[in-house]
Amino acid sequence: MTGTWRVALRNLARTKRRNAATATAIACGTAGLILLLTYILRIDLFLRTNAIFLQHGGHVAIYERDGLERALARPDRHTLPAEAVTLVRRLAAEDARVELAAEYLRGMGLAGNGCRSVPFLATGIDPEVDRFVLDHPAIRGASIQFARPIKGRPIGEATEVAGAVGLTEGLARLLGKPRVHDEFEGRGVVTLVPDCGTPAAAGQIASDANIQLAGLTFDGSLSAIDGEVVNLFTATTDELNNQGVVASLEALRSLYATDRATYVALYLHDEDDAEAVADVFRKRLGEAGHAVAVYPFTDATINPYYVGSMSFLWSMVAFIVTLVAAVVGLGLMNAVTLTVFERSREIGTFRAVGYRRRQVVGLFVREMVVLAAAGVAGGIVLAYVAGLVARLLDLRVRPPGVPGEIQVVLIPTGVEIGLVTAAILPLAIVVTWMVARRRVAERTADLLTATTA
Amino acid sequence: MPTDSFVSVRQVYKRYRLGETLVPALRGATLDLHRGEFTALVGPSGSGKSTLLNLVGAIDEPDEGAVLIEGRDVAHLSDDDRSRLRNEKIGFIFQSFNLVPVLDVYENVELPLLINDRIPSSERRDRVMQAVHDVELDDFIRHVPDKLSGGQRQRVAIARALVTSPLLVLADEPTANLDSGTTQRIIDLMLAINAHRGVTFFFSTHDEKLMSRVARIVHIVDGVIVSDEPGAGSRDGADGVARGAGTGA
Repeated sequence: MTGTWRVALRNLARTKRRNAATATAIACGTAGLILLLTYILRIDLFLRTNAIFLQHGGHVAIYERDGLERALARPDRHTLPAEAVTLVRRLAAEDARVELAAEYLRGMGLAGNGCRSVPFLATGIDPEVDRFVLDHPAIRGASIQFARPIKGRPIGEATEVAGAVGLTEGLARLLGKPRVHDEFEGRGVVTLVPDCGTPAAAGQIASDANIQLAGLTFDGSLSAIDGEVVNLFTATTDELNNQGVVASLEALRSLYATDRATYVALYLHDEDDAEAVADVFRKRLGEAGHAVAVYPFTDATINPYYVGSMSFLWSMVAFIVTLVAAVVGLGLMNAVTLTVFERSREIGTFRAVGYRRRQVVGLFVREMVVLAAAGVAGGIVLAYVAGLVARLLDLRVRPPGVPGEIQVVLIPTGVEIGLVTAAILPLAIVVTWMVARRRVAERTADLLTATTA
Repeated sequence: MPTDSFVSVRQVYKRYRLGETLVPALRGATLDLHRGEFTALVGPSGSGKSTLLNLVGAIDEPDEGAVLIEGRDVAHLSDDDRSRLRNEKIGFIFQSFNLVPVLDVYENVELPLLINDRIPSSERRDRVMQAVHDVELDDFIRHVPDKLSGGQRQRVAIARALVTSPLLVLADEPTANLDSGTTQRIIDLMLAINAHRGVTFFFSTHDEKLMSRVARIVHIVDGVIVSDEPGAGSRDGADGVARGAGTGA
């Protein structure tokens, strides 16, 4: 340790109470910012993973032009034809950034239980894609509790069940189908309900996992298929909770009598490539004569909840960080000003024995570096403890636009710690430098006779 | 009479602002200090003693006139160069010692050396130990100032002033806060250093005991040097206790 650092360390012992208060303020500010950042990044991760994987939007979604808005109303015009899907798949295979290209079909209709029908909004998924999504490390990394069904098996794991479908819990309630295929030990017996008006009807409806899905084919004919409820799941958005159906792509294509796809989702190895990949596909598909709309997941058009929520949350974070930085900065300035003024005569002495201005300022900055480092270290420990307590208490929050709750994970990572440290330490140093520099610039003769010492 | 003028103060004026008024502190002061002198600056309170010491010590600049140290006009030096000059050529002893309370004797004495990168740590240690030894504080080397008497603290300040081997030591009322016995010992110490090392001492004082032992006394009144004459201590110069003589600026 060099002599000047030793002097700085010794000086910290001088006003122990004030220094302890300053370090505590830094620790509290650090812990607060780390926890806030951890929370926001956690919400960001959750919403992002939800948008990309659970809503099956992918990192990049490719629709027929206007397909996002009109595919449900006019599927014959605004869905991707088979040749466009094939081209997208080929381009994806040629692009090393793309991990998987998955086609989806969305449609609506009426779901019935033999007695009543309710509207549904269905997504047709290739079972392999369903497995890919559920097993994806991003899902595990985000610790999304409702990635898997509440009850039963994902359709990707129920390929042996003919007409396997999953229902949102709200739709299952409306249809009176609280149990899934596996709970009937695979009997697959369909119970007839002779009279829907009798009190026994509800029990009879609930005694099997069979439903009927009816809809219009893409050419306008009436069509229906049987479905076997293999799982109940939590909808990824509030709107979907009373109408969501997930079926195999094959089953839904059969219902709508089509080989088209509503969109193709591209899952990438690195989400940072989303916009670049979107640009490439937009260009290449356009060159091939396909009028498509390509959306990276960061586009508010396709992920309004994610983009809107995070935009709001980050604005809030910026405001809070500014507020905390101002409070911590002013608190530090107050403490440093007191310290510097109290030691005016000492500053004069240092100057008299030959210390240059920057060397004297350096002494104060060194003191603050040590103090701030101690405060930041304390803040990190505090943040960890708070994170552990939150985990023990099993605190839960409901992110915006999502029906389920997630556990509040506030255990900070290196990212949050690094960002906050990179903000607090320079702040403390700059404040000290500003205050000390101003005092040290005064006439040495005045400093030596200062009465503040 | 020595001819090697080390410090030259030439027609120096210095004024301070007190509210709306400009108060003159020095009015055309002229003075030469020579190597090895032991000179007292004497005058009533407010006569300009501290101002003159500050100018000679390159910690202040004159409004008019010039202060030359080794032929260099202090006013023409950058702040960094003045700092280097003070660090390498000048030592300061203050009336209230101005020790850093959280540092022990060793560390206080070491302070002026910490900023000189050209001094290796081993030499720095040797110099500090020698300076502490010279002021006979070896047994108190790990004591902080609060644990020392007034005389011991002033000896620490002397050691700090001497550790860089300066050519000139400036002292502002160095014995003002000390009892008579301690004053005597501090005077003896300063005289011995002056005699054995040839360090030039220039200090302000009201102390009759100190004045009676200096080789040269400069009187200042209302910012004007009114007399500059040999002191009683000039006779001691013959027996080696103090050297130098008044030059009568």
